[in-house]
Amino acid sequence: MVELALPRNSKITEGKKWPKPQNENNIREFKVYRWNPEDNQNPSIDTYYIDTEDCGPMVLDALMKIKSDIDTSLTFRRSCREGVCGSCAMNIDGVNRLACTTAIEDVKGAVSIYPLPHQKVIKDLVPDLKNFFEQHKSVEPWLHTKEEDPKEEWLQSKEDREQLDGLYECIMCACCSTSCPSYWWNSDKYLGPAALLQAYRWIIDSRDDERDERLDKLEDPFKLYRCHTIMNCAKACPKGLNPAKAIAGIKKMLVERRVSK
Amino acid sequence: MTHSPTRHFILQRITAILNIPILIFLLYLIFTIPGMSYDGVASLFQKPSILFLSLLLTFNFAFHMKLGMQMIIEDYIHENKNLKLALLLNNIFVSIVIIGCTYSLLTL
Repeated sequence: MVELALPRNSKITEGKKWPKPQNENNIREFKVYRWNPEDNQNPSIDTYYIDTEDCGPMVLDALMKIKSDIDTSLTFRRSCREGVCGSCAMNIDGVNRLACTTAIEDVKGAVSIYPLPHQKVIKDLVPDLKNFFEQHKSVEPWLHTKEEDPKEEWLQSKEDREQLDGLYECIMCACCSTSCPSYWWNSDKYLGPAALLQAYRWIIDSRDDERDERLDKLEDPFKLYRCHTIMNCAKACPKGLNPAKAIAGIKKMLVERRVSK
Repeated sequence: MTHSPTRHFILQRITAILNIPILIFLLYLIFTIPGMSYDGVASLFQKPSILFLSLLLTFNFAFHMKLGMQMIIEDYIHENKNLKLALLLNNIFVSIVIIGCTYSLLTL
């Protein structure tokens, strides 16, 4: 059965409350999820206070400020700091988003920061995305051709290339998949919105010769059909993409294929 | 377990669309039957068109319910043994609904 309650060792406790800076006017409160696999303690929520006058405008700036000035043990992923790499995806104020593109001033009250939901946690804000990337690999996100390789590059018309707009921009941050209830319950078997968006991106690529083989692999009660069009994926995507539409596109192709048989 | 997921998906949509006109018929029954005598109701359901639509309503609603419940069961029950049992119970329940309603309609 699906586990609806957290196991006892996953119950979140109140953590350390770090001192509030004195004589500062622009103090913001940050409540950050902490868990260390090495100390055998339950996860906790630590409270930090940051002077926003002395910090960059984004949530990632605040996290880096905490790590460099207050608590060096705080662990999180980050790289590009401009919404391109997808490393700093986390749950901020109840919504999956990128810490580097979320402004502190856009969050009302205390800024709560958790790792992406329903993934195993490696430490603090770092989720284990091994399964997520394995699923991406399983859709074989590269060109499958049967013809000989061209001397220079595989060409396609401008119209065919436009079909890939809204699909190729995915940065694999996992905000969509980890916001999907179907993925929470069946992440071992359901591929999730991110992998399916990529699957669709290659299915409709005019240069790809294995459309039917790709569709065959997705015709499974769990890999594709666990999507119930909840649309959390489209709401969560920090790049404004719509994985639910891509999934609907795959279902439509499967239906057309079956009806025309 | 759904052996042909695309077939399941198509049937779910077809029965859902078919449910819309059937629902209008159901509303007609709900507003027509109250106040009628037993004999009046019995003669209403003996009309071939009403009987046909009532049987269609029974089959379509029950089948759509079975498909939907199957999805929910597959979503939430993961252990193979419990999953098979829940799917079997779902089929038995829907069969009882269909047989019971059909028998009632034909013997009214």
